[in-house]
Amino acid sequence: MGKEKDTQDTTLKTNSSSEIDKETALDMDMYKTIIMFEEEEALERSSENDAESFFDTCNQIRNNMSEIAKLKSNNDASTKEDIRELQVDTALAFMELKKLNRMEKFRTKFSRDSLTTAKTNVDNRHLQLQNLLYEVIHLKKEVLKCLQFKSKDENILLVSEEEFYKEAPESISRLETTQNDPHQKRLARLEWELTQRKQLALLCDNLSENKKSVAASIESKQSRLDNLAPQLRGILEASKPLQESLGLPLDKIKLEHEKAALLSPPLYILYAKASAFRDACDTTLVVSVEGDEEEAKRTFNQDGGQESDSDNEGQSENIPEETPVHKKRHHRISKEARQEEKKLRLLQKHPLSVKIIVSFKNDTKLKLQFYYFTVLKVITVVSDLLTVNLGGISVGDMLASESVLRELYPGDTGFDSPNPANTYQLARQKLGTFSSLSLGIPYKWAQWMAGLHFVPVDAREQKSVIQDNGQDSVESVLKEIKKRVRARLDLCAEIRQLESGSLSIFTDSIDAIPQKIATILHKFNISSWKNYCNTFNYSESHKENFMTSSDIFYEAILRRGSSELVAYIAIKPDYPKVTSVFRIIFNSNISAGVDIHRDIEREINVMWDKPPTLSAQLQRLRSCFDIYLETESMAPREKIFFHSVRGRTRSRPYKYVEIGGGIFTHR
Amino acid sequence: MTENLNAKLFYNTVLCQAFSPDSRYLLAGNIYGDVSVYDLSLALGPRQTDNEELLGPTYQFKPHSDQQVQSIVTTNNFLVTGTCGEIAGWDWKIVTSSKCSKIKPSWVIQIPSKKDSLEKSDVNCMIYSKENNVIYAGSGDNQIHIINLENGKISSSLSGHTGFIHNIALSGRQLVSGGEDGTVRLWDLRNKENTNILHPYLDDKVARPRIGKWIGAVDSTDDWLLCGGGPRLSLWHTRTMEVAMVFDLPDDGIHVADIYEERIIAGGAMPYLYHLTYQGVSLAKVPVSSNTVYSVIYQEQPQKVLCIAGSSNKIDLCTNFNYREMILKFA
Repeated sequence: MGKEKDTQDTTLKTNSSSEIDKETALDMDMYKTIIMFEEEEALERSSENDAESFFDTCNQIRNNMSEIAKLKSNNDASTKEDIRELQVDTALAFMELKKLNRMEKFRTKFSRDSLTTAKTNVDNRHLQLQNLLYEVIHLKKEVLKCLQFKSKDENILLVSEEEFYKEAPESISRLETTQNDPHQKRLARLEWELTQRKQLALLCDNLSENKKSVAASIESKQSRLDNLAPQLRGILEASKPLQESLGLPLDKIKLEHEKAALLSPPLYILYAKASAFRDACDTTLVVSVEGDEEEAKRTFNQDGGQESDSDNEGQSENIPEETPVHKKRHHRISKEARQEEKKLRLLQKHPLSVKIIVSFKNDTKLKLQFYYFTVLKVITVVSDLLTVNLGGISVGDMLASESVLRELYPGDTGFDSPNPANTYQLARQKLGTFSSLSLGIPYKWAQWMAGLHFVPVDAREQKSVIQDNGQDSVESVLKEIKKRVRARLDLCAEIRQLESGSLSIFTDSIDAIPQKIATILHKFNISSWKNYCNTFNYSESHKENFMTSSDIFYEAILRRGSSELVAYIAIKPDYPKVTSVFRIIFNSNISAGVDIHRDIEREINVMWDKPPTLSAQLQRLRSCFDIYLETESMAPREKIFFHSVRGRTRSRPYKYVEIGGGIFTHR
Repeated sequence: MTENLNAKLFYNTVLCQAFSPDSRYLLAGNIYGDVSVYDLSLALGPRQTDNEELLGPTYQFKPHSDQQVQSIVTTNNFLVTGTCGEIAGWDWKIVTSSKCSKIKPSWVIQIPSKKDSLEKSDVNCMIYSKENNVIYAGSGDNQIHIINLENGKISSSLSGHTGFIHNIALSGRQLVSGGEDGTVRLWDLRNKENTNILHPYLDDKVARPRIGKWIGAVDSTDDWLLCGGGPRLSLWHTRTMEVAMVFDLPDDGIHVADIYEERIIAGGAMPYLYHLTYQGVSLAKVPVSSNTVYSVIYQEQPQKVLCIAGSSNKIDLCTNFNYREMILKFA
């Protein structure tokens, strides 16, 4: 409001000043000077004083106003004058206020101006400060960069300082300058390094040059040797007819030996022993190595590494076994695959095998093929008996290759691996028993032949192993095999004869055999373990089992008149060393206690001085049956005996003595 | 050959048993001519039960090779074995010691064989009489020989049977014998004469023609006579010579019949040993290992034990008469 008044005032003044036309410029000048003057005045005066004078003036106006009001209320004529005077006073006071106002305005303006100048000044300074700070940061970074700078020479490996001073020539080391100046020292060392490296590079070049020349010479020599080989081969080829004509199978032997060298150690031992035996004792024996030679070479080369490998495997195998089963599906699949692979590995056999052919009369041959299982570490045998047709229905099983070699030594059924560790190995891979895998048969004698000795699970076996534990195991085993096969062939002939119903005449036996017998062999045919078990209510778990499923079972029917006897015969694998076992049953029209059977069985199975043949046993059975019937008066008495029964056991005179025409006595 | 040996033992039959005079040992003889000696305290004492193997003999010897040990009897100084044609005495001290296997007989008495026979006669059963120091031997030559051990001679022989003697029994001054001829004969030992003859096979209630007429076992007390064999086991009153009781047993022949403290022990061709009262009530039916029982012996002191043997390699022991306590094997 003050300003408006002010401008009004100035307009008023200008209006008033415009009254003087000509002197406008001067006026303007005047105006300016007045303003300047006023400004100066305003600065000189203190605002505090002005404020006081303002309050005073205001009070005076107020007083004057109230005086005027009082006077006017009096309505006196005389007061008119006083009023007038007071009015003038008041007007003056207003003037005074106006003046003060102006002054104040000036001062405000002035102070505002000074404030802005001060502010700009501050801003400038601030800007300057910021610029400077930025510069500082930048410089710091630069410094840091400089500090972090790496010289290439730092990566170079230098010889140690001592070595450097010891070896470098004075021209490079310059002891005086470098001693105290690390930079110079470093330079010197670098220089020394450089010279050394240069020298070495030179040396390297020289050596490689040498190498090249040597290689070239080797190559030339090799090519010469290569050229020599076909010539040699030609010579060998040419010498063959000569060798043949001289009867020296040198090449064949050499080839065989080369192959043999690739055999796994146990098979090699077997091969070596067997061929030695062949050369020394038995020329009809055929010993050879069979299988894929290339693969054998490969395994032979791997062998060293594989050995330790399999050990590691054994250790690491435990770990996946222990991992919990609830793994993710794809894991399991891979695990199965891995397990499959492990199974295959476990059952891996050596690619080469040894074949031994044992020949017998009548073109009968026994082929024995020996395999070695590299992981199971056991030898198995696959045997094949080649016979000319012997005929006879029931002979079949008897010459089946496995049955021929069964229990060649007591208890050696070959059902289980003789290596006790295999049971665990197979169980871990859930492969079942050894025999179910059809890997061939791990006979114990095969292990002996190959020089493998395992701790027998049965302590009693230990002794028998020690006895056989000699150099001559191959010889004794082969002898045993020959004996066995011959015995089998004899047995076949015997059985064939029995089947045709004829009993051969015995003269060679130590035990006397009666010849005049009324009982006839009605029928003789093959039976089975199952059949036997059914008949006698018999089981494998039976305590006194003289019969086992590995025996070969026959059934014989003996007849005299209406009396009939059925004998169940178990022929042991080791026949005739081990006597066949008979069990008998009478037909229903003969009543007899259990012990009657027992007595007859005892007579047939046990009471021999030396192991009897099957026919001898049958013959005795016939006579026993006769005697029983005759002592029981169930048949006309034909035999000579004194008492039909004797002793508290009421035993019968089953024993035959060749006195006179032959008499029967009691045991 | 071990196979054959096992098989031989499988067909073993134990014919006779006896206790030693001090009651500490059990002896048993078999058809292969072996005698097994068992230390009873060892057999009945505590031992590891987990061992499946049966306990074998403590000692064993072969008194008669290639002959059967048909009977055994105990005297104060000797073990007497009876075999075909002879009886032999063996010193107890050696029999019950580790030197047992190399034992030699202390004495041998030959049993005379009949003139017309090639065969020697068996000694199927023997009884020792302490007072006169004689052995009564039931023989295969149909006679009962009375053998005086003082001089080792046969003092007299009782003849009358027409078949070999199966069994004899002594009660007081009276001897009872049973034989293959089917008769039971009573003998007065003072006069050495046959006082009475019984023919059980002629009695319809007793006879079993299917099995035979032979008498396998006899025993007697003052009033009663027990016999059995082919005919059924039967109890006869000695004064009247009438059948008092016929026992119905599932047997194929009786070989053992004993009267022991008002009870009858009977065994034979059946898989059980029966304990019966005179009235025929079964007191116990003990299963046995043998098909046929040929010998049952028992003692009260120092330990009550009943031993059963027969046609198997096993001897069954009962400490309580009513059930089988344990099994020994002959070899």
